[in-house]
Amino acid sequence: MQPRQKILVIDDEEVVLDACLAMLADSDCETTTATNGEEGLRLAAEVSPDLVFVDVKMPGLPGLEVLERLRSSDPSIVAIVITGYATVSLAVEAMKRGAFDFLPKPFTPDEFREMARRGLERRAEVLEQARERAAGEAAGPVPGAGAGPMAPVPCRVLGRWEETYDTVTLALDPPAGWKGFRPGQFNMLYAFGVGESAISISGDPADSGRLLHTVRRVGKVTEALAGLQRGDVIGLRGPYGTPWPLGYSAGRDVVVVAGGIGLAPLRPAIHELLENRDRYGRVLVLLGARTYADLLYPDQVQEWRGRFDVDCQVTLDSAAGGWRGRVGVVTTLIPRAEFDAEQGVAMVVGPEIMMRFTAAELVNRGMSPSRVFVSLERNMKCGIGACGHCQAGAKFVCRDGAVFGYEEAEALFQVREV
Amino acid sequence: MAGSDQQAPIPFELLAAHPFVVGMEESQLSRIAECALNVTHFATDQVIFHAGGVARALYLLHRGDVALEVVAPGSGTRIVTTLSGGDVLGWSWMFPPYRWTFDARALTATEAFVIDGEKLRQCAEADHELGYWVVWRVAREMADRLQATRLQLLDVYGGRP
Repeated sequence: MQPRQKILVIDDEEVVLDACLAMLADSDCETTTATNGEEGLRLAAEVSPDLVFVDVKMPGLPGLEVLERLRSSDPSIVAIVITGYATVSLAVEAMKRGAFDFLPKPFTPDEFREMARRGLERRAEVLEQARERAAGEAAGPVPGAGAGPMAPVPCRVLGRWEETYDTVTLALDPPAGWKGFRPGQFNMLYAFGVGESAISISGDPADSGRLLHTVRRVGKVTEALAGLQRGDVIGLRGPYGTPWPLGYSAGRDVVVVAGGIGLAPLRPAIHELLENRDRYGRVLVLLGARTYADLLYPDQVQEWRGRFDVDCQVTLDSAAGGWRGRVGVVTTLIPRAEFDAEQGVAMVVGPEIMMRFTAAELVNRGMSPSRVFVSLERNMKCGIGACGHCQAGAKFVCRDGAVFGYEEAEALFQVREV
Repeated sequence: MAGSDQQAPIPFELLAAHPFVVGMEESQLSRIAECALNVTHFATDQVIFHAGGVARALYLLHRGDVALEVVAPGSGTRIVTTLSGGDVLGWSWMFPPYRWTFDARALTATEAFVIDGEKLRQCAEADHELGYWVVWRVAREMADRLQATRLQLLDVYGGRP
Protein backbone atom coordinates (compact mmCIF):
# COMPACT_ATOMS: atom_id res chain seq x y z
CA MET A 1 0.00 0.00 0.00
CA GLN A 2 1.35 3.41 -0.99
CA PRO A 3 1.96 5.80 1.92
CA ARG A 4 -0.33 8.83 1.90
CA GLN A 5 1.22 11.90 0.37
CA LYS A 6 1.60 14.85 2.71
CA ILE A 7 0.76 18.46 2.03
CA LEU A 8 1.71 21.38 4.24
CA VAL A 9 0.00 24.77 3.80
CA ILE A 10 1.66 27.82 5.37
CA ASP A 11 -0.48 30.98 5.41
CA ASP A 12 -1.15 33.60 8.06
CA GLU A 13 -4.87 33.82 7.16
CA GLU A 14 -6.74 31.14 9.06
CA VAL A 15 -9.67 31.44 6.67
CA VAL A 16 -7.36 30.41 3.81
CA LEU A 17 -6.01 27.47 5.81
CA ASP A 18 -9.55 26.30 6.63
CA ALA A 19 -10.53 26.62 2.98
CA CYS A 20 -7.48 24.60 1.86
CA LEU A 21 -8.25 21.87 4.40
CA ALA A 22 -11.83 21.75 3.12
CA MET A 23 -10.72 21.62 -0.52
CA LEU A 24 -8.41 18.68 0.19
CA ALA A 25 -10.80 16.88 2.54
CA ASP A 26 -11.82 14.36 -0.12
CA SER A 27 -8.27 13.65 -1.29
CA ASP A 28 -6.05 10.82 -0.09
CA CYS A 29 -3.55 13.32 1.23
CA GLU A 30 -2.62 14.10 4.79
CA THR A 31 -2.82 17.88 5.14
CA THR A 32 -1.13 19.97 7.84
CA THR A 33 -1.33 23.73 8.26
CA ALA A 34 0.83 26.43 9.83
CA THR A 35 0.02 30.08 10.44
CA ASN A 36 3.55 31.43 10.09
CA GLY A 37 6.93 30.64 8.55
CA GLU A 38 8.65 29.50 11.74
CA GLU A 39 5.87 27.06 12.56
CA GLY A 40 5.84 25.91 8.93
CA LEU A 41 9.56 25.10 8.97
CA ARG A 42 9.18 23.23 12.27
CA LEU A 43 6.28 21.20 10.89
CA ALA A 44 8.13 20.55 7.65
CA ALA A 45 11.03 19.07 9.64
CA GLU A 46 8.58 16.93 11.61
CA VAL A 47 6.28 15.58 8.89
CA SER A 48 8.54 15.72 5.78
CA PRO A 49 5.80 16.90 3.42
CA ASP A 50 5.77 16.05 -0.28
CA LEU A 51 4.24 19.35 -1.26
CA VAL A 52 4.24 22.74 0.47
CA PHE A 53 2.06 25.74 -0.30
CA VAL A 54 3.69 28.91 1.07
CA ASP A 55 2.10 32.34 1.34
CA VAL A 56 4.59 35.01 0.30
CA LYS A 57 3.32 37.82 2.49
CA MET A 58 3.27 36.80 6.14
CA PRO A 59 4.25 38.52 9.36
CA GLY A 60 7.60 37.29 10.67
CA LEU A 61 9.64 35.10 8.36
CA PRO A 62 8.83 36.08 4.75
CA GLY A 63 7.45 33.39 2.45
CA LEU A 64 10.38 33.51 0.03
CA GLU A 65 12.77 32.97 2.92
CA VAL A 66 10.67 29.99 4.07
CA LEU A 67 10.77 28.65 0.52
CA GLU A 68 14.53 28.95 0.37
CA ARG A 69 15.03 27.22 3.72
CA LEU A 70 12.64 24.42 2.78
CA ARG A 71 14.49 23.85 -0.47
CA SER A 72 17.92 23.98 1.15
CA SER A 73 16.93 21.38 3.76
CA ASP A 74 15.35 19.12 1.12
CA PRO A 75 15.96 20.06 -2.55
CA SER A 76 13.45 17.43 -3.67
CA ILE A 77 10.57 19.13 -1.85
CA VAL A 78 8.00 20.63 -4.20
CA ALA A 79 6.90 24.12 -3.18
CA ILE A 80 4.15 26.31 -4.60
CA VAL A 81 3.95 29.97 -3.72
CA ILE A 82 0.57 31.56 -3.01
CA THR A 83 -0.02 35.25 -2.68
CA GLY A 84 -2.52 38.02 -2.95
CA TYR A 85 0.13 40.18 -4.57
CA ALA A 86 0.40 38.48 -7.92
CA THR A 87 3.15 40.14 -9.86
CA VAL A 88 5.37 38.79 -12.56
CA SER A 89 8.50 39.83 -10.68
CA LEU A 90 7.37 37.99 -7.58
CA ALA A 91 6.60 34.88 -9.60
CA VAL A 92 10.02 35.06 -11.20
CA GLU A 93 11.68 35.52 -7.82
CA ALA A 94 9.81 32.51 -6.45
CA MET A 95 10.84 30.38 -9.44
CA LYS A 96 14.44 31.46 -9.03
CA ARG A 97 14.35 30.30 -5.44
CA GLY A 98 13.09 26.91 -6.49
CA ALA A 99 9.30 27.21 -6.42
CA PHE A 100 7.58 24.73 -8.71
CA ASP A 101 4.73 27.09 -9.46
CA PHE A 102 2.80 30.14 -8.40
CA LEU A 103 -0.85 30.39 -7.31
CA PRO A 104 -2.36 33.87 -7.12
CA LYS A 105 -5.20 34.60 -4.67
CA PRO A 106 -8.11 34.43 -4.94
CA PHE A 107 -8.20 30.89 -6.33
CA THR A 108 -11.05 28.51 -6.88
CA PRO A 109 -11.19 25.03 -5.31
CA ASP A 110 -10.59 23.53 -8.77
CA GLU A 111 -7.52 25.69 -9.32
CA PHE A 112 -6.14 24.74 -5.92
CA ARG A 113 -6.81 21.03 -6.36
CA GLU A 114 -5.28 21.08 -9.87
CA MET A 115 -2.19 22.81 -8.54
CA ALA A 116 -1.94 20.26 -5.71
CA ARG A 117 -2.31 17.40 -8.20
CA ARG A 118 0.45 18.74 -10.42
CA GLY A 119 2.70 19.43 -7.43
CA LEU A 120 2.30 15.90 -6.11
CA GLU A 121 2.86 14.48 -9.59
CA ARG A 122 6.07 16.48 -9.78
CA ARG A 123 7.13 15.18 -6.37
CA ALA A 124 6.59 11.58 -7.53
CA GLU A 125 8.73 12.29 -10.61
CA VAL A 126 11.51 13.79 -8.52
CA LEU A 127 11.54 10.83 -6.14
CA GLU A 128 11.50 8.40 -9.04
CA GLN A 129 14.46 10.17 -10.64
CA ALA A 130 16.32 10.02 -7.33
CA ARG A 131 15.65 6.27 -7.13
CA GLU A 132 16.88 5.80 -10.70
CA ARG A 133 19.99 7.78 -9.96
CA ALA A 134 20.71 5.70 -6.87
CA ALA A 135 20.10 2.44 -8.75
CA GLY A 136 22.13 3.47 -11.78
CA GLU A 137 24.98 5.04 -9.81
CA ALA A 138 27.42 2.33 -10.92
CA ALA A 139 26.73 1.88 -14.59
CA GLY A 140 23.56 3.66 -15.67
CA PRO A 141 23.53 5.16 -19.16
CA VAL A 142 24.09 8.85 -19.66
CA PRO A 143 21.26 10.62 -21.49
CA GLY A 144 21.40 9.76 -25.13
CA ALA A 145 23.94 6.98 -24.71
CA GLY A 146 21.52 4.22 -25.59
CA ALA A 147 20.86 5.69 -29.03
CA GLY A 148 24.42 6.78 -29.69
CA PRO A 149 26.46 9.69 -28.40
CA MET A 150 24.85 12.26 -30.69
CA ALA A 151 21.24 11.46 -29.81
CA PRO A 152 19.61 13.99 -27.52
CA VAL A 153 16.99 12.91 -24.99
CA PRO A 154 13.76 14.88 -24.65
CA CYS A 155 13.66 17.20 -21.73
CA ARG A 156 10.78 19.36 -20.48
CA VAL A 157 11.06 23.05 -19.63
CA LEU A 158 9.83 23.51 -16.05
CA GLY A 159 10.25 27.27 -15.96
CA ARG A 160 11.86 30.20 -17.66
CA TRP A 161 12.73 33.73 -16.60
CA GLU A 162 14.49 36.73 -18.08
CA GLU A 163 17.78 37.57 -16.39
CA THR A 164 18.79 40.59 -18.47
CA TYR A 165 17.60 42.14 -21.72
CA ASP A 166 19.32 39.40 -23.77
CA THR A 167 19.66 36.54 -21.30
CA VAL A 168 17.19 33.94 -20.11
CA THR A 169 17.45 31.11 -17.59
CA LEU A 170 15.71 27.83 -18.39
CA ALA A 171 14.82 25.39 -15.62
CA LEU A 172 14.74 21.90 -17.16
CA ASP A 173 13.32 18.69 -15.80
CA PRO A 174 16.36 16.38 -15.52
CA PRO A 175 15.87 13.53 -18.01
CA ALA A 176 15.60 9.90 -16.95
CA GLY A 177 19.04 8.55 -16.21
CA TRP A 178 20.47 11.95 -15.34
CA LYS A 179 23.17 11.46 -12.72
CA GLY A 180 23.95 15.03 -11.88
CA PHE A 181 26.81 17.22 -13.04
CA ARG A 182 30.00 18.73 -11.77
CA PRO A 183 30.47 22.51 -11.66
CA GLY A 184 31.95 23.72 -14.92
CA GLN A 185 30.28 21.12 -17.14
CA PHE A 186 27.95 21.94 -20.00
CA ASN A 187 25.08 20.32 -21.88
CA MET A 188 24.28 20.35 -25.58
CA LEU A 189 20.75 21.77 -25.82
CA TYR A 190 18.82 21.05 -29.00
CA ALA A 191 16.02 23.36 -30.13
CA PHE A 192 14.07 21.00 -32.38
CA GLY A 193 14.07 22.08 -35.99
CA VAL A 194 16.64 24.82 -35.36
CA GLY A 195 19.86 23.35 -34.01
CA GLU A 196 22.07 22.59 -31.07
CA SER A 197 24.21 24.72 -28.81
CA ALA A 198 26.64 24.09 -25.93
CA ILE A 199 25.25 25.76 -22.82
CA SER A 200 26.90 25.72 -19.40
CA ILE A 201 24.90 24.39 -16.50
CA SER A 202 24.33 27.35 -14.21
CA GLY A 203 22.44 25.97 -11.22
CA ASP A 204 23.23 24.38 -7.90
CA PRO A 205 24.72 20.86 -8.32
CA ALA A 206 22.88 19.86 -5.13
CA ASP A 207 19.49 20.72 -6.66
CA SER A 208 18.46 17.39 -8.14
CA GLY A 209 14.99 18.57 -9.06
CA ARG A 210 15.88 20.90 -11.91
CA LEU A 211 18.67 21.77 -14.27
CA LEU A 212 19.36 25.44 -14.85
CA HIS A 213 20.90 26.83 -18.04
CA THR A 214 21.41 30.53 -18.64
CA VAL A 215 21.21 31.30 -22.34
CA ARG A 216 22.30 34.49 -24.05
CA ARG A 217 20.59 35.32 -27.32
CA VAL A 218 23.42 35.53 -29.83
CA GLY A 219 22.20 33.50 -32.79
CA LYS A 220 19.37 31.42 -34.23
CA VAL A 221 19.73 28.48 -31.84
CA THR A 222 20.11 30.50 -28.66
CA GLU A 223 17.25 32.74 -29.83
CA ALA A 224 15.06 29.64 -30.15
CA LEU A 225 16.21 28.27 -26.78
CA ALA A 226 15.56 31.60 -25.08
CA GLY A 227 12.08 31.68 -26.58
CA LEU A 228 11.02 28.36 -25.04
CA GLN A 229 8.16 28.37 -22.61
CA ARG A 230 7.15 26.25 -19.65
CA GLY A 231 6.03 22.82 -20.88
CA ASP A 232 8.03 22.95 -24.13
CA VAL A 233 10.34 20.05 -24.89
CA ILE A 234 13.95 20.29 -26.03
CA GLY A 235 16.71 17.77 -26.66
CA LEU A 236 19.59 17.39 -24.22
CA ARG A 237 22.94 15.63 -24.34
CA GLY A 238 25.47 15.74 -21.59
CA PRO A 239 26.91 16.60 -19.21
CA TYR A 240 30.19 17.15 -21.00
CA GLY A 241 33.49 18.81 -20.27
CA THR A 242 36.04 19.05 -17.52
CA PRO A 243 34.91 20.44 -14.17
CA TRP A 244 36.38 23.29 -12.13
CA PRO A 245 39.25 22.04 -9.92
CA LEU A 246 37.32 22.23 -6.65
CA GLY A 247 39.04 19.23 -5.09
CA TYR A 248 42.46 20.69 -5.89
CA SER A 249 41.30 24.01 -4.42
CA ALA A 250 40.54 22.55 -0.98
CA GLY A 251 42.50 24.35 1.73
CA ARG A 252 43.47 27.16 -0.64
CA ASP A 253 42.19 30.67 -1.23
CA VAL A 254 39.87 30.66 -4.24
CA VAL A 255 39.39 33.68 -6.47
CA VAL A 256 36.39 33.48 -8.80
CA VAL A 257 36.41 36.15 -11.52
CA ALA A 258 33.43 36.51 -13.86
CA GLY A 259 32.73 39.00 -16.60
CA GLY A 260 29.25 39.40 -18.06
CA ILE A 261 27.58 36.06 -18.78
CA GLY A 262 30.73 34.35 -17.49
CA LEU A 263 29.03 34.17 -14.11
CA ALA A 264 26.69 31.44 -15.43
CA PRO A 265 29.30 28.65 -15.74
CA LEU A 266 30.89 29.77 -12.48
CA ARG A 267 27.73 29.85 -10.38
CA PRO A 268 27.69 26.07 -9.71
CA ALA A 269 31.28 26.36 -8.44
CA ILE A 270 30.29 29.27 -6.19
CA HIS A 271 27.41 27.16 -4.82
CA GLU A 272 29.83 24.35 -4.10
CA LEU A 273 32.37 26.68 -2.47
CA LEU A 274 29.77 28.30 -0.24
CA GLU A 275 27.99 25.08 0.68
CA ASN A 276 31.31 23.58 1.78
CA ARG A 277 32.77 26.81 3.04
CA ASP A 278 35.03 25.29 5.70
CA ARG A 279 36.93 23.25 3.08
CA TYR A 280 38.46 26.34 1.51
CA GLY A 281 40.58 29.31 2.54
CA ARG A 282 39.39 32.78 1.60
CA VAL A 283 36.73 32.84 -1.11
CA LEU A 284 36.58 35.90 -3.36
CA VAL A 285 33.96 36.48 -6.03
CA LEU A 286 34.94 39.36 -8.32
CA LEU A 287 32.29 40.32 -10.83
CA GLY A 288 32.28 42.71 -13.75
CA ALA A 289 29.38 43.76 -15.94
CA ARG A 290 28.58 46.51 -18.38
CA THR A 291 25.80 48.09 -16.31
CA TYR A 292 23.72 46.99 -13.33
CA ALA A 293 21.00 45.92 -15.76
CA ASP A 294 23.51 43.56 -17.38
CA LEU A 295 24.56 41.94 -14.11
CA LEU A 296 23.38 38.32 -13.89
CA TYR A 297 21.59 37.02 -10.78
CA PRO A 298 21.58 40.39 -8.97
CA ASP A 299 19.61 39.10 -5.96
CA GLN A 300 22.01 36.24 -5.43
CA VAL A 301 24.97 38.57 -5.85
CA GLN A 302 23.43 40.81 -3.19
CA GLU A 303 23.14 37.80 -0.90
CA TRP A 304 26.81 36.88 -1.46
CA ARG A 305 27.83 40.46 -0.75
CA GLY A 306 25.99 40.28 2.56
CA ARG A 307 27.89 37.19 3.73
CA PHE A 308 30.86 37.54 6.05
CA ASP A 309 32.62 34.43 4.78
CA VAL A 310 32.97 35.55 1.16
CA ASP A 311 34.45 38.71 -0.33
CA CYS A 312 32.12 39.52 -3.22
CA GLN A 313 32.95 42.67 -5.17
CA VAL A 314 31.17 44.07 -8.19
CA THR A 315 32.41 46.65 -10.64
CA LEU A 316 30.54 48.05 -13.61
CA ASP A 317 31.71 49.73 -16.78
CA SER A 318 29.03 52.34 -16.40
CA ALA A 319 27.32 53.69 -13.29
CA ALA A 320 24.07 54.37 -15.16
CA GLY A 321 20.93 53.81 -13.10
CA GLY A 322 22.16 55.17 -9.79
CA TRP A 323 24.88 52.58 -9.13
CA ARG A 324 26.99 53.72 -6.18
CA GLY A 325 29.60 50.99 -6.22
CA ARG A 326 32.82 50.59 -8.14
CA VAL A 327 33.21 51.64 -11.77
CA GLY A 328 35.89 50.11 -13.97
CA VAL A 329 36.68 46.74 -15.54
CA VAL A 330 36.89 43.64 -13.39
CA THR A 331 40.69 43.43 -13.68
CA THR A 332 40.95 46.57 -11.52
CA LEU A 333 39.62 44.61 -8.53
CA ILE A 334 42.56 42.20 -8.52
CA PRO A 335 45.51 44.35 -7.37
CA ARG A 336 43.84 45.25 -4.03
CA ALA A 337 41.95 42.02 -3.38
CA GLU A 338 43.13 40.09 -0.33
CA PHE A 339 44.16 36.52 -1.13
CA ASP A 340 47.20 34.31 -0.97
CA ALA A 341 48.47 34.59 -4.54
CA GLU A 342 51.26 32.06 -4.03
CA GLN A 343 48.98 29.19 -2.99
CA GLY A 344 45.58 30.35 -4.23
CA VAL A 345 43.55 29.14 -7.18
CA ALA A 346 41.62 31.29 -9.64
CA MET A 347 38.64 30.36 -11.81
CA VAL A 348 37.95 32.86 -14.55
CA VAL A 349 35.20 33.11 -17.15
CA GLY A 350 34.29 35.90 -19.50
CA PRO A 351 35.05 37.02 -23.00
CA GLU A 352 38.55 35.90 -23.99
CA ILE A 353 40.02 39.35 -23.94
CA MET A 354 38.83 39.78 -20.35
CA MET A 355 40.22 36.37 -19.35
CA ARG A 356 43.61 37.22 -20.85
CA PHE A 357 43.90 40.48 -18.95
CA THR A 358 42.55 38.92 -15.76
CA ALA A 359 45.06 36.08 -15.93
CA ALA A 360 47.83 38.63 -16.52
CA GLU A 361 46.78 40.56 -13.37
CA LEU A 362 46.63 37.37 -11.31
CA VAL A 363 50.08 36.31 -12.52
CA ASN A 364 51.27 39.83 -11.79
CA ARG A 365 50.06 39.35 -8.20
CA GLY A 366 52.26 36.25 -7.97
CA MET A 367 49.83 33.48 -8.86
CA SER A 368 51.29 30.70 -10.94
CA PRO A 369 49.61 30.36 -14.38
CA SER A 370 49.18 26.67 -13.55
CA ARG A 371 46.70 27.64 -10.82
CA VAL A 372 44.67 30.00 -12.99
CA PHE A 373 41.80 28.15 -14.69
CA VAL A 374 39.65 29.51 -17.49
CA SER A 375 36.72 28.18 -19.48
CA LEU A 376 36.79 28.33 -23.26
CA GLU A 377 33.58 27.69 -25.12
CA ARG A 378 34.53 28.52 -28.67
CA ASN A 379 32.97 26.80 -31.64
CA MET A 380 31.75 23.71 -29.83
CA LYS A 381 29.43 21.74 -32.11
CA CYS A 382 29.31 18.08 -31.11
CA GLY A 383 30.46 18.18 -27.48
CA ILE A 384 32.39 14.90 -27.78
CA GLY A 385 35.48 15.74 -29.84
CA ALA A 386 34.12 14.08 -32.98
CA CYS A 387 33.42 16.92 -35.40
CA GLY A 388 36.67 18.88 -35.08
CA HIS A 389 35.05 22.33 -35.09
CA CYS A 390 36.69 23.28 -31.81
CA GLN A 391 40.04 21.61 -32.45
CA ALA A 392 43.15 23.66 -31.77
CA GLY A 393 46.35 21.72 -32.32
CA ALA A 394 46.06 18.49 -30.38
CA LYS A 395 43.22 19.80 -28.23
CA PHE A 396 39.47 19.69 -28.63
CA VAL A 397 37.91 22.45 -26.56
CA CYS A 398 34.76 20.40 -25.91
CA ARG A 399 36.48 17.16 -24.97
CA ASP A 400 39.67 18.41 -23.30
CA GLY A 401 38.00 21.47 -21.77
CA ALA A 402 36.03 23.59 -21.58
CA VAL A 403 37.95 24.25 -18.32
CA PHE A 404 41.67 24.59 -19.00
CA GLY A 405 44.65 25.62 -16.96
CA TYR A 406 45.85 29.00 -18.18
CA GLU A 407 49.19 27.54 -19.32
CA GLU A 408 47.28 25.48 -21.90
CA ALA A 409 44.65 28.09 -22.61
CA GLU A 410 47.23 30.78 -23.33
CA ALA A 411 48.36 28.80 -26.36
CA LEU A 412 44.73 28.38 -27.48
CA PHE A 413 44.10 32.11 -27.09
CA GLN A 414 46.70 32.66 -29.78
CA VAL A 415 44.76 30.48 -32.24
CA ARG A 416 42.48 33.05 -33.81
CA GLU A 417 40.24 30.75 -35.83
CA VAL A 418 39.20 28.41 -33.00
CA MET B 1 42.64 72.41 -1.01
CA ALA B 2 39.41 70.61 -0.20
CA GLY B 3 39.11 68.67 2.99
CA SER B 4 37.14 68.30 6.15
CA ASP B 5 37.64 69.59 9.64
CA GLN B 6 38.96 66.21 10.65
CA GLN B 7 42.65 66.48 9.85
CA ALA B 8 45.62 64.93 11.61
CA PRO B 9 49.32 64.37 10.94
CA ILE B 10 50.10 61.29 8.84
CA PRO B 11 51.67 58.51 10.94
CA PHE B 12 54.95 57.67 9.20
CA GLU B 13 54.37 53.89 9.34
CA LEU B 14 50.97 54.23 7.63
CA LEU B 15 52.44 56.43 4.92
CA ALA B 16 55.31 53.95 4.43
CA ALA B 17 52.80 51.11 3.93
CA HIS B 18 50.88 52.85 1.12
CA PRO B 19 51.36 51.02 -2.22
CA PHE B 20 52.42 54.26 -3.89
CA VAL B 21 55.61 54.45 -1.79
CA VAL B 22 56.22 50.81 -0.88
CA GLY B 23 59.73 49.86 -2.02
CA MET B 24 61.10 53.41 -1.96
CA GLU B 25 64.40 53.97 -0.25
CA GLU B 26 64.18 55.32 3.30
CA SER B 27 65.75 58.66 2.34
CA GLN B 28 63.25 59.21 -0.49
CA LEU B 29 60.37 58.23 1.73
CA SER B 30 61.56 60.75 4.30
CA ARG B 31 61.53 63.47 1.63
CA ILE B 32 57.96 62.55 0.72
CA ALA B 33 57.02 62.54 4.40
CA GLU B 34 58.39 66.09 4.59
CA CYS B 35 55.87 67.05 1.90
CA ALA B 36 53.02 65.28 3.68
CA LEU B 37 50.34 67.62 4.99
CA ASN B 38 47.83 65.57 6.95
CA VAL B 39 45.34 62.72 7.04
CA THR B 40 42.03 64.09 5.80
CA HIS B 41 38.62 62.51 6.21
CA PHE B 42 35.87 62.99 3.66
CA ALA B 43 32.26 62.17 4.42
CA THR B 44 30.08 60.23 1.99
CA ASP B 45 29.22 62.42 -1.01
CA GLN B 46 31.70 65.12 0.02
CA VAL B 47 33.45 66.69 -2.94
CA ILE B 48 37.24 66.33 -2.71
CA PHE B 49 37.97 68.63 -5.64
CA HIS B 50 36.21 70.15 -8.63
CA ALA B 51 37.28 70.08 -12.27
CA GLY B 52 39.00 73.36 -13.12
CA GLY B 53 40.14 73.98 -9.55
CA VAL B 54 43.81 74.51 -8.75
CA ALA B 55 45.51 71.14 -8.25
CA ARG B 56 47.69 71.48 -5.20
CA ALA B 57 47.71 68.02 -3.67
CA LEU B 58 48.41 64.36 -4.22
CA TYR B 59 45.91 62.18 -2.35
CA LEU B 60 47.04 58.73 -1.30
CA LEU B 61 43.77 56.97 -0.46
CA HIS B 62 44.03 54.97 2.75
CA ARG B 63 40.46 53.72 2.93
CA GLY B 64 37.09 54.44 1.35
CA ASP B 65 35.88 54.81 -2.22
CA VAL B 66 36.12 57.84 -4.46
CA ALA B 67 34.43 58.52 -7.80
CA LEU B 68 36.08 60.53 -10.56
CA GLU B 69 33.23 62.29 -12.32
CA VAL B 70 32.55 64.55 -15.21
CA VAL B 71 29.48 66.67 -15.76
CA ALA B 72 28.09 66.01 -19.22
CA PRO B 73 25.58 68.58 -20.45
CA GLY B 74 22.21 66.93 -20.90
CA SER B 75 23.11 63.72 -19.10
CA GLY B 76 24.13 64.93 -15.67
CA THR B 77 27.12 63.69 -13.76
CA ARG B 78 28.83 60.57 -15.08
CA ILE B 79 31.31 58.47 -13.14
CA VAL B 80 34.44 57.80 -15.17
CA THR B 81 36.08 55.45 -12.70
CA THR B 82 36.25 54.72 -9.01
CA LEU B 83 39.27 54.48 -6.75
CA SER B 84 39.65 52.87 -3.36
CA GLY B 85 42.07 52.43 -0.47
CA GLY B 86 45.61 51.94 -1.79
CA ASP B 87 44.98 53.97 -4.94
CA VAL B 88 46.42 57.34 -5.91
CA LEU B 89 44.06 60.23 -6.51
CA GLY B 90 45.18 63.15 -8.64
CA TRP B 91 48.26 63.87 -10.71
CA SER B 92 47.26 67.26 -12.14
CA TRP B 93 49.57 68.95 -9.57
CA MET B 94 52.49 67.56 -11.63
CA PHE B 95 51.77 69.22 -14.94
CA PRO B 96 50.89 72.77 -15.98
CA PRO B 97 48.40 74.36 -15.82
CA TYR B 98 47.94 72.52 -12.47
CA ARG B 99 44.15 72.30 -12.77
CA TRP B 100 41.97 69.29 -11.96
CA THR B 101 40.38 67.72 -15.03
CA PHE B 102 37.63 65.79 -13.22
CA ASP B 103 35.52 66.13 -10.10
CA ALA B 104 36.40 63.78 -7.25
CA ARG B 105 33.69 62.80 -4.76
CA ALA B 106 33.78 60.40 -1.81
CA LEU B 107 31.34 57.53 -2.39
CA THR B 108 31.88 56.24 1.13
CA ALA B 109 33.61 57.67 4.21
CA THR B 110 37.14 58.18 2.94
CA GLU B 111 40.51 58.75 4.53
CA ALA B 112 43.38 60.15 2.47
CA PHE B 113 46.99 61.06 3.10
CA VAL B 114 47.36 64.50 1.59
CA ILE B 115 50.75 65.39 0.13
CA ASP B 116 51.61 68.97 -0.83
CA GLY B 117 51.93 68.68 -4.61
CA GLU B 118 53.80 71.95 -5.15
CA LYS B 119 56.37 71.08 -2.49
CA LEU B 120 56.78 67.55 -3.85
CA ARG B 121 57.28 68.96 -7.34
CA GLN B 122 60.00 71.30 -6.04
CA CYS B 123 61.68 68.42 -4.19
CA ALA B 124 61.55 66.30 -7.33
CA GLU B 125 63.12 69.10 -9.39
CA ALA B 126 65.89 69.55 -6.84
CA ASP B 127 66.53 65.82 -6.41
CA HIS B 128 66.25 64.06 -9.76
CA GLU B 129 66.57 60.61 -8.26
CA LEU B 130 63.54 61.29 -6.10
CA GLY B 131 61.91 62.91 -9.14
CA TYR B 132 62.52 59.78 -11.21
CA TRP B 133 60.83 57.56 -8.62
CA VAL B 134 57.86 59.87 -8.19
CA VAL B 135 57.36 60.19 -11.94
CA TRP B 136 57.89 56.42 -12.40
CA ARG B 137 55.19 55.64 -9.83
CA VAL B 138 52.75 58.16 -11.26
CA ALA B 139 53.49 56.79 -14.75
CA ARG B 140 52.74 53.25 -13.52
CA GLU B 141 49.37 54.46 -12.19
CA MET B 142 48.70 56.18 -15.50
CA ALA B 143 49.59 53.02 -17.45
CA ASP B 144 47.29 50.89 -15.29
CA ARG B 145 44.43 53.35 -15.68
CA LEU B 146 45.01 53.70 -19.40
CA GLN B 147 44.84 49.92 -19.80
CA ALA B 148 41.68 49.72 -17.69
CA THR B 149 40.13 52.55 -19.72
CA ARG B 150 40.98 50.79 -22.97
CA LEU B 151 39.28 47.63 -21.72
CA GLN B 152 36.26 49.71 -20.70
CA LEU B 153 36.15 51.23 -24.17
CA LEU B 154 36.41 47.78 -25.75
CA ASP B 155 33.18 46.82 -23.99
CA VAL B 156 34.77 43.47 -23.14
CA TYR B 157 31.65 41.84 -21.73
CA GLY B 158 29.79 42.16 -25.01
CA GLY B 159 27.68 45.18 -25.74
CA ARG B 160 24.08 45.72 -26.55
CA PRO B 161 23.20 45.68 -30.23
